[in-house]
Amino acid sequence: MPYALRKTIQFLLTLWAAVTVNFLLPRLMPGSPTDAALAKIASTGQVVTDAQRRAIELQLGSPSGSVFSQYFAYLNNVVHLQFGVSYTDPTQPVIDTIRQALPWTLVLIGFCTIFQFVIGTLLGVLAGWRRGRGIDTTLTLSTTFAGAFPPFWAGLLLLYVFAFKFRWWPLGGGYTDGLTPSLNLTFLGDAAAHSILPALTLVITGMGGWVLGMRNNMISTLGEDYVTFAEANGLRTRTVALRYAARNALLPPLTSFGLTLAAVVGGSVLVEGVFSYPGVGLVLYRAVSNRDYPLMQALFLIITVTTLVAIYLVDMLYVRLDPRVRR
Amino acid sequence: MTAPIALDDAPRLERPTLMTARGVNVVYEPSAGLSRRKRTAGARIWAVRDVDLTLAEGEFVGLVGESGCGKSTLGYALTRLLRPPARLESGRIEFDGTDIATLSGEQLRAQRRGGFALVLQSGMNALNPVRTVEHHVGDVLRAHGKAGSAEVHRRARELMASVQLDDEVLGRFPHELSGGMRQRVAIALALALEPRMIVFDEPTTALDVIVQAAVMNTIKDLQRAKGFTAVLISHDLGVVLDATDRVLVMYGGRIVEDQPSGEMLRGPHHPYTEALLDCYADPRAEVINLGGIAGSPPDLSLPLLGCSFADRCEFAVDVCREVDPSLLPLGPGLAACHVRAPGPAAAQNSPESAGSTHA
Amino acid sequence: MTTLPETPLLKTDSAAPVAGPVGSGAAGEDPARAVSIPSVGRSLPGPFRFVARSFGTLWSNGKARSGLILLGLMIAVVIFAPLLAPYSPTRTDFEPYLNPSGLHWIGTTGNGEDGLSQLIYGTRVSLFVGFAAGITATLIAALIGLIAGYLPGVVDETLSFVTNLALVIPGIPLMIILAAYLPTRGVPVITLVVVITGWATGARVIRSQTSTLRSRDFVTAAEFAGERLLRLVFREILPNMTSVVAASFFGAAVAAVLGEASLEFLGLGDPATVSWGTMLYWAQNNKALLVGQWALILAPGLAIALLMVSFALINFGVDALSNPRLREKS
Repeated sequence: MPYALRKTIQFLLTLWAAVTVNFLLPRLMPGSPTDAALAKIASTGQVVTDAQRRAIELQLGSPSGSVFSQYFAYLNNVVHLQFGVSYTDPTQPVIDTIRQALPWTLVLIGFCTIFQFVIGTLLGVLAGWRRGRGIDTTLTLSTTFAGAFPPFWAGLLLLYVFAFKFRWWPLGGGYTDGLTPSLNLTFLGDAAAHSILPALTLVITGMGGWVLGMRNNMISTLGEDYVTFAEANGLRTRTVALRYAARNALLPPLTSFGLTLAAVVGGSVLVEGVFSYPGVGLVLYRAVSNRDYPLMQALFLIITVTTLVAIYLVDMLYVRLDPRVRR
Repeated sequence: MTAPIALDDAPRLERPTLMTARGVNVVYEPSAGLSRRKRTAGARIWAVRDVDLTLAEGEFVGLVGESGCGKSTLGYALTRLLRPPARLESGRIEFDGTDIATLSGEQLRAQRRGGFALVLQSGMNALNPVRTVEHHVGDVLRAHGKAGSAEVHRRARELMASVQLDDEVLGRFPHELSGGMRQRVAIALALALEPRMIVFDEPTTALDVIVQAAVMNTIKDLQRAKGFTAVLISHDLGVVLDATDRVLVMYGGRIVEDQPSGEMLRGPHHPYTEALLDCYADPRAEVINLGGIAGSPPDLSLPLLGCSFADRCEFAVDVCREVDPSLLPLGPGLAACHVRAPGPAAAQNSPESAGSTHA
Repeated sequence: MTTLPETPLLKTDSAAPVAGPVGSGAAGEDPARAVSIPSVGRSLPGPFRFVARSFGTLWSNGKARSGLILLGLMIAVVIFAPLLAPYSPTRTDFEPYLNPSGLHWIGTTGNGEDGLSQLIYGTRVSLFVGFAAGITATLIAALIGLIAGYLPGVVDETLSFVTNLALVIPGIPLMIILAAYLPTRGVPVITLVVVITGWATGARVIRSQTSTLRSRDFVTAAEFAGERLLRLVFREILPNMTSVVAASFFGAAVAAVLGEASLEFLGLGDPATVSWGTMLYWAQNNKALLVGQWALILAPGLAIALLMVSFALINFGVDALSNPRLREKS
């Protein structure tokens, strides 16, 4: 079966499975989140419309109706992006909260992943090429050490050193209070300044995996016959290193891109919490503290789906890079 | 040591020497995972021991031996492509008068042009999976001087034609070609820089018999047409005898015999070579006796004294286990054997001279 | 952040003869994979000798050695905690928000507890979770990986799909959801959650390795000789995968420690537990940062990092075992 077709089918199946897992989870947990959800909203004095109530029940499980009918109604809701309302603010549908927060997270993670990938790969190539020498040991050890820092702790430290002590960058948030989000330069500049520390945290703690993976692959690839042959034919060192070794060493890590992305996403949740960065992670962080189940459910689904889509895109990209899978 | 004298090989004497190797020792040092204690001599493997050889221009030389005898290692040493954990421990290798061991990285790279080249054992893996054949040619040409795409294309077509490949392979990726085709591409790439010497490391081992014959014919034709010195490394004596002018037999890291190919099937030989020849049955004979050689190859991690074949040799005498035999005249070529090509040491120790006085 | 180990090479080059099934005496005979056999322990029974030998091999790798020493120190802290800690970790009668001093080396928390004692006792939780979750996750991974790799067809496809699913779902969000829904809080729950999110990486690698080994000749030979499935798996395949399984364990242990700390930091652990993650949770809640108590934040985080680093370093050694090309030249 052609690679592209196979990957597409895999993507769709996994998507379906993720949505189903999301459906099953609250129903499998002891206790009844639905009642708790409804009770909590009632306690704030808000009135819940029938549609909202129905949405919550579908998300979290209702005592009435068969599982299957609930399931199909749930799927229907998912497709129409109806996730019910959140506890903390029942007037705002969950989907809106997420919609506001998602771009921030996408930008942060997108930027960090690309950055990690590019720099991490280059460093890994360098470490592998000069294996055993000073640069290799330094890079390997420092990235291992940096990668062992829990992201949230690294964030706290960076926050303390750079924001608190040195006051180079802001203490948190996505933008200075009082500014309205828009696409003009002032705002973008301000937002960028606020993103530097979170981004730095994510990159420092996440790059280790890329560097090491690439380094090890480089070392394996360098042992391949075609590298020896290229050397035998007198190709320039740089050509051999990049076009022959690195280009091939790059392929295995791309296939495990999914794992790294999942890790970055997870890390961002904590980092956003530490920096109060207004992304999806912060929303999740707050939802957890408030036991806001509908919000958590929806967030989990959105996060998973976004990750799956990103992985799918990279898989499709892989076809362009490795002629052996083209059919 | 003095250069070996071939008695009735006049044409070869006229050809200038292209490469000489003296006292080449190659060692494999498996590293790490070893505590300091274990880093004793026992852990190193001497793959090539004290090898001397001379290659003349335009010669086609075969290097024959069983697996593990060191022939591939020697081939890599001669083209300076040894990779860790292998290392040239000692010895001098001269190509056209230059000591290649002293060449720096950039000088060595430049030497590849018009110098020596290597075709790997498995052409299957010798090509970069993500680049097309034409790109490969381009890479090689551009590494040694500028070449525009039109020029590259022209050269590529020429090269493919010289190894009997169609133009259409130029746009293909390696995985789209058969094993034989890939091997031909590898040969063509080695030829691209018009080297004066090419080492073929088991070029046909991974191919089936019919393709083997075709590729060997291509190699022979090319060698005759372009006149480069060729070194054919193989464990298949039949293939080697067919293609080459001269054969070197290796055993246990040493060269034990050096004979013109035409003479190999007759005349006295080193006991190992004899046993090797015996292993090939004559299909025309009435009764076919398949020979074998009892015993197993020597442990190359131990420093060996004496002849490396002594343990398996039915003619061995005491001196064989004590003194390293040197390559001395035997028939039209050379052999390293105390019994067949005795030197002064053997003569002294042999039983017959026990009672005689020194000459 | 730790790498998946490379599949052992199937290629043979003339200096590295491929070793056959690794029995208890096979090592040391082929030079390219030369493993130093410690002279101590030779007379011990089989499994112990195996452990002693593995230990010795890891010890000889520089990075792994540092990792082992670090881990050893932590284990010592776990055992000797009552002797090392100056006070009981749960005493809350100290003056809160104190900065580091002679009496309180890293200060006191917002709740009035001594930071250093908490730090020392907290080692127990983290090491427990690291090992318990690591071992459990690896067992599950090995089970699923072996079955999927050995039985082709529908079984493999299904198990692989499940593994893949578990891999692409981001770990920390899943952990958060699970922990939030479960009624109880505390270390056992956290261990469970971490195991559920952590088995998949190892399973994938083990499956791929089993699959490779399965097609090797010695397995086919054993099958023809009529060896029973279970015996085949344990006698022929598993011994060749020890380094893969070990690497998977260390990878899982690292993820477990990080996961545990993260969950506790988010408040999903039992706030009364004495652990590094909880220390950070309280520090964050009590605004230790704004008060300037950097030591209280630095210490537990550093401890977490050191534990993770020790596992990662040991993992380097294991990687080098399974892939000879990665071995250092010492």
